Amino acid sequence: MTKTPTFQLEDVSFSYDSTDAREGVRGISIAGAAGKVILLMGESGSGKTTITKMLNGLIPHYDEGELSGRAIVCGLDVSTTPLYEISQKVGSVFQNPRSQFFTTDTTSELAFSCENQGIEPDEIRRRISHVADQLGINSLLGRNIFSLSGGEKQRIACASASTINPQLYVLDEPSSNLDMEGICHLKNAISLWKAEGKTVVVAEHRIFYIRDLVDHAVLMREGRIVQEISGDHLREMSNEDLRSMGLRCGTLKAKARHSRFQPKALHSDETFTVEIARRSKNDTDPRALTIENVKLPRHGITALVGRNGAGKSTFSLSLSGLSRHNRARVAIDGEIITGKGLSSLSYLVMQDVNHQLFAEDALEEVLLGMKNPEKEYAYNLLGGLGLKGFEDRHPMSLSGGQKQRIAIAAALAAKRRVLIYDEPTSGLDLRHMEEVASVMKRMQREGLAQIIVTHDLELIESCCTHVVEMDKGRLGAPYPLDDKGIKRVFDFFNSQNAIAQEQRK
Amino acid sequence: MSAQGTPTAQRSTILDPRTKLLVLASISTVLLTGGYDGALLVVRPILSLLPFVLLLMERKFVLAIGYASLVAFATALQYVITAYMPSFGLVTILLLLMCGFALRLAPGIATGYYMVTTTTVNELVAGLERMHIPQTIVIPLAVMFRFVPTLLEEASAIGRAVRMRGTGNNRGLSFLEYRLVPLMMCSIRIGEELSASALTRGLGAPCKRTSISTIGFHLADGVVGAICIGCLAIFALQGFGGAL
Amino acid sequence: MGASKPDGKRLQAKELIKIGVFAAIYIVVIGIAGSLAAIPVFVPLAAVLVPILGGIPMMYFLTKVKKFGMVVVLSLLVGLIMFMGGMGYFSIFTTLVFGLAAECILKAGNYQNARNVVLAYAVQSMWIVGNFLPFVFTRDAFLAQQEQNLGAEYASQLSTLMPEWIVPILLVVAFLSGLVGAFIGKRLYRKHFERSGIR
Repeated sequence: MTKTPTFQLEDVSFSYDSTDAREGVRGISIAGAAGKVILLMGESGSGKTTITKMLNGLIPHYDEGELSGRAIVCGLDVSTTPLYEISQKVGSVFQNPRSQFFTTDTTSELAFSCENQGIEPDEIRRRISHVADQLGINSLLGRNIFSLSGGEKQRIACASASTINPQLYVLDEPSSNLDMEGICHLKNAISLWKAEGKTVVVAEHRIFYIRDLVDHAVLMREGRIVQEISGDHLREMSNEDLRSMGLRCGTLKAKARHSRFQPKALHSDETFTVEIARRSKNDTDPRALTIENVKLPRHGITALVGRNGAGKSTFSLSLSGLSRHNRARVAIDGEIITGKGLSSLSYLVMQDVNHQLFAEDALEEVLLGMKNPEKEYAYNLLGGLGLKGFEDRHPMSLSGGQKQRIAIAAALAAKRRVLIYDEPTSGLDLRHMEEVASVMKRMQREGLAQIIVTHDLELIESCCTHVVEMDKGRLGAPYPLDDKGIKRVFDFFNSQNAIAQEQRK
Repeated sequence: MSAQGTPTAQRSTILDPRTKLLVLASISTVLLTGGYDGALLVVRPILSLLPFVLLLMERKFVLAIGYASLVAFATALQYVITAYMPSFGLVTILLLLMCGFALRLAPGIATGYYMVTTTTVNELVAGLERMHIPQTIVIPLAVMFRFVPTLLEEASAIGRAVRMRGTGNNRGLSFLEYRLVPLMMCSIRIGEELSASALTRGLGAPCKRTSISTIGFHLADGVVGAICIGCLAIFALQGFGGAL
Repeated sequence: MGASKPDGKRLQAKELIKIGVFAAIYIVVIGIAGSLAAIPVFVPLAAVLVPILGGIPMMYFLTKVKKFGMVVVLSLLVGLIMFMGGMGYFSIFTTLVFGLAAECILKAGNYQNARNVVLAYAVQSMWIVGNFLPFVFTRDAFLAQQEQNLGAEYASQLSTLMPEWIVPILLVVAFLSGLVGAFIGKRLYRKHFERSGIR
């Protein structure tokens, strides 16, 4: 007896409304059975997200467009069943932890889906208790959501989806903003759901964490399914095979470094020194750091790694002179810079680049930071960063990677010498991540010192020259990324899995 | 906050949110629109004292002291000025006026603070739902409370970006442009994601929403409620404070 | 955000969420300026600032509104927040009345006419007067009490500063500032929102 699949899409096509710039999908035929994990892989824009939306009903009930073909999810016809009905059978987890929650405290958030369905309060409490035990989040109950880290928020999101006991879980790039610890918890949730006999569909760039769990994988390109791979076959593929398909690596394994790479000993003329002190002696806020005389490579690309809460963002802010709690002092190129001078020294490319774009076109954005605006120079900067022809486009109309490059162009125009990046590649696919890496190498050639706060091992491998670890507000000594260094940073990341295990007890 | 065993959205406050709304309504009505004569001479101080007592009950000591200090300071300033200033120049008039209005407004604002700092969104929503206030009001209100902290976070991130770019805090249109436009763009995007997430979790279903909130009327609500209704009654009997 | 074709006449959840989001933005933007209107001395200032600042979020919102009721609900929410903040209950009335008027103006233009949007916003801005009304209603009693406490001279000076005909003046000021706010909002909308493709 064949079991009916949990969902079935037969020759489904969807095109977004004409005002929408997004690409649709064509001729999708895919099905998923109970207890199976299905992975949707592909570059950005290949249509993975669109398929997830067809499974949870956002298409066609939220996003406007033309839907054709037959889409049946948990026995319901997606095009004719209202969203709230579909939501009773399908649990969704999205990419961005901070915009998923509707209430302000965790327990209420877990109750939310059930309350919407009118389930009895006692039953809701029982379910919350059950899910909390299963996913090990009892310690997170009853807390203000705004005080949680990104990983913790995502755990709540997963738990919240579980409380209605759906048949199908749909996850859209859930690991994008997570560190290793968070990813470990995510994997745990997915394996739990699989063991319960649920169907899980995950759209992802970062494949390494669910490779073991995948039953069936689907490769998408330009809105079509181009290849279907079984889970076993996927597990046999090497990192190089995946790269050739345009995908991020399947295993985190330290690659041997090129023999060309010379580990640089850090001589003083090749370093700059950073010292951070708290503004007021009595400041006991965890964001008040004490960093003494750390020597960072002047012409290097240094990765700043550490767990969430270790102080990485605070460090970046302090170095740019933007921290209320700290005062930084930098000795660079023979000068000492402190206070107001820091804002002319460093430039922070923020995690959300949208926070730092103000002008109505790219050219204006670059000119904004220049003391003596020179149009020609600005044009050249933009051109050099692959933005030729986009000068009169509004920054917000461009892609994430393009926005990043405009921000970097502005940094160059403002003659900053230190570039700090806060998670520049979260959520980026292989190609875009490599683009970012090549921009960084270019900036290195221009003579800038770069510090990248990141969890992205592939980025680190791709372009970083040094690594510095941060833990509980303390900075370790920087080490170069030679063979030993690579192994060391991989070990660092792998150790976070053990930490995550502990937290679930 | 949550105990082992069955978790509840624990009551974080003494009064039911509906009672708090009653206090707010009473103060707004009587203090702001009432007169100063007759029985209101007694009613006014009672209602002015109420926020102070409530804040103390909920252990919001800083706010309680702040409220008391403001009232004390304004009253004192008024007497000092009238007693010692020889003539009434523009400045003195303005100062006195500000004192006068601070005194009139303080109870209302203190109650407002009390309401916001001692009620969780869920409790408020549960209270409103029990009063049969339609979803048309409840949903946007809940979204508002949830969204404001996010807005403030975004605004401060944008503020940092402005400082870093060194474009300066120029007043006028540039200020609006550099601060408000990015804020709105980011907020709209977050709003869309929020919307999608809420809808995929069943918001807007035609059935009646339940709530795990444990609000309900207790002794304190009875006492405070009686006080408010008493004051309102007197206010009504006095002819709605001169409006009639 | 999702729909541009209205499904049914009732406000759906996604529209309600949108209203909540914009109400939050509006409140945060007008923030302090809005509370200033509670103090008569500063009311003229607030009657100018609030409509101007509020124009930026509201113009965007009003341009996107396609269904009857969204403006009224948003205005009512603003009034409720003013009430909860201790500004009195009059603002609930003024926001309701002017919000409804603005809604009708928008509908008269079939939600498409740009001029109607500007007019609607200017009309809606007049709600700010509601924060000041508590004092108008009890002016005499208030003055009597001030006279009792602080002397006749002060009271008479005060009464010249708070003339009874100040309310219509404030309404006009708010309306005119609303026009200014609408123009600023519209200009910024064209300069940024249209070109950036934020729907």
